[in-house]
Amino acid sequence: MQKLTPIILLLFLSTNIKATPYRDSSNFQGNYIEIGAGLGSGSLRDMGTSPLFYTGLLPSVSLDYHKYFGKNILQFNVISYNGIYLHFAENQTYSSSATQVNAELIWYRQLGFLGNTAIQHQYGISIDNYTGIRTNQSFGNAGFSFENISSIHAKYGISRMLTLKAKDKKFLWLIKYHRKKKQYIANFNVGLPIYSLFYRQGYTNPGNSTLDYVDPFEGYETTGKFLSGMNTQLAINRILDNGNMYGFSYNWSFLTTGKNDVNQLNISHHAILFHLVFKFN
Amino acid sequence: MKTKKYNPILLIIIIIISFPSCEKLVFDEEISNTPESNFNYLWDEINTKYAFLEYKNIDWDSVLMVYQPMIYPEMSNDSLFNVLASMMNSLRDGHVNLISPFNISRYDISLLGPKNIDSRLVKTKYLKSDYYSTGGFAHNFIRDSEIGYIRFASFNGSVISDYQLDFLYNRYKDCKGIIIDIRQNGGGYVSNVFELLSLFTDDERLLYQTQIKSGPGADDFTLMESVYSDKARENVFSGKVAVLTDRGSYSASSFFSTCTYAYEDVFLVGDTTGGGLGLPNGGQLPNGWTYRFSITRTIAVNGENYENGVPPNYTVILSEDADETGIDNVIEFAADKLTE
Repeated sequence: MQKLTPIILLLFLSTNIKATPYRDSSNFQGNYIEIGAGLGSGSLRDMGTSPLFYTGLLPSVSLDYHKYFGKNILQFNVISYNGIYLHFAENQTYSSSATQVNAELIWYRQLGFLGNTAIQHQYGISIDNYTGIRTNQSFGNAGFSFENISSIHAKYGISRMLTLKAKDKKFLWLIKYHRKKKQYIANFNVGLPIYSLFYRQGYTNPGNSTLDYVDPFEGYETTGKFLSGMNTQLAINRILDNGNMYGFSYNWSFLTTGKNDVNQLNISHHAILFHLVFKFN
Repeated sequence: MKTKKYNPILLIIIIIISFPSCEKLVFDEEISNTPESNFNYLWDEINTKYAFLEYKNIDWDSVLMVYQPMIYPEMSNDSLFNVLASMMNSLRDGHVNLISPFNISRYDISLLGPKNIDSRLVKTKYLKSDYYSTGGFAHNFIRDSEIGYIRFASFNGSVISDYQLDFLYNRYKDCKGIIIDIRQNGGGYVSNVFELLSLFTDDERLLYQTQIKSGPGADDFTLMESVYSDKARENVFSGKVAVLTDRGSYSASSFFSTCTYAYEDVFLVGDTTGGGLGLPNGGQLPNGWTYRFSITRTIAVNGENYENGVPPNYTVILSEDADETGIDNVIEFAADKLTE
């Protein structure tokens, strides 16, 4: 990874030399690839095995593709969380390792073009698929847990261009320097899962099978739920002259099978990610 | 008329700050950690998920009446553990455990029956000093090489390999019969049951059926799933096989014993096994302690549920004077049957 970092940075600064420099809203078109990395935290409770909330520190990486065409935005993103969930109880630590991946395909329709100084609204729809794999040795045969959740979301986003004008400034009130004009795009979006299909353990989790073949999903069931959570992202990116961007985002999401579910599953994530965004024509 | 403009950035910040609280509104609160809540949680989990309350004719409500009065707010962890463990042991199930940082509760099935094996006697008189150790198998010839004696003390450890089975086959293929001794074998990997069965399986046959608890009712189980022997090996022992059992033959050993009912040339000798044909899963209490109990049930090819123990074809109990006579009458009986 250490060897890759300078290459990625070099690519970031040099690519898209032929791209039309970003000037106004109508040029905010084309294809973008975004890579992100950061740190997340999460809480998780799977009442199929435990009534306790486990809290995790979860390094996170993401990969996004955005295509702006006309007033449409097509977006595909994958975000993964990998780490350890812990629960402390009476001087004991219980741990559960976890790998979680969420992939989402989104289509937005913009009202107006991005880049106008006014706030731009976007409405859309998405389908996503979340996969979680956990192991907790404390639970014996039920130590392996898997859930796959597919949802169809209603999406809403707002974006706004922000400009810091060129200005002569002093660093620490002493050293004079000239701040160039800087342009940013701030974006906030929210998704509501209209309907979700949960594939996970059924009433009980036998885990290690008594069958004559390996079936870690024995007894698993698929159930459907309406409005099972929410996901949001607040992002701010600085737009460079070559159309590339870099910035930060705060991602928050939660999923639940609902309070009436016998084996409630509650998952939430908070993650701050640093992004590099590459523009491709 | 002047309309009041809102600041969207401020609005977003307010929304973001309030989000973490938002999920707490949607999620149920964590169950409090008190002796009473731990007791109630465990009692309810067993009441709704344990597979054998009806089969074992256990009135779980009356168990509640017995143990609930023993719970009080200031009780120590040790006292709470003992009450919970006693309540769980009323299930009379070796697959039931409560695991705390300072103790693990257990219900020892093997002590329910008479002593049915003398390990020293087996080693000195039957395996002898030149016995072979192949994986988890200790084995040797007995009765002038007419019988192959294979002691298999645990289904745990490594997976039984084809190489090991081929070795056993080649060594004992000319014997009149083999004895597989699983007395005091407390179980292990169920997958090893199918591997060991493949030593004398030349076709696909129904071994047993299994079901998973699927609801709170006593009869709420998934549909029966049939389990077959599907591994037809090249080298299959075609002679008679005697399997020696006792109350210490538990879990995977009981699975193996149950499966022998599907074979005409395989018979059980010894005492009823310990049972344990329900697969235990695990869970956690509000105080962090973990537990496990059975959530599946197994039905033998003859339609019987042998959760309480698989009965032998020939009941033979080790003589009390076995140590003095130097004769394991269980092995001798099996050998006689194999050479008839």
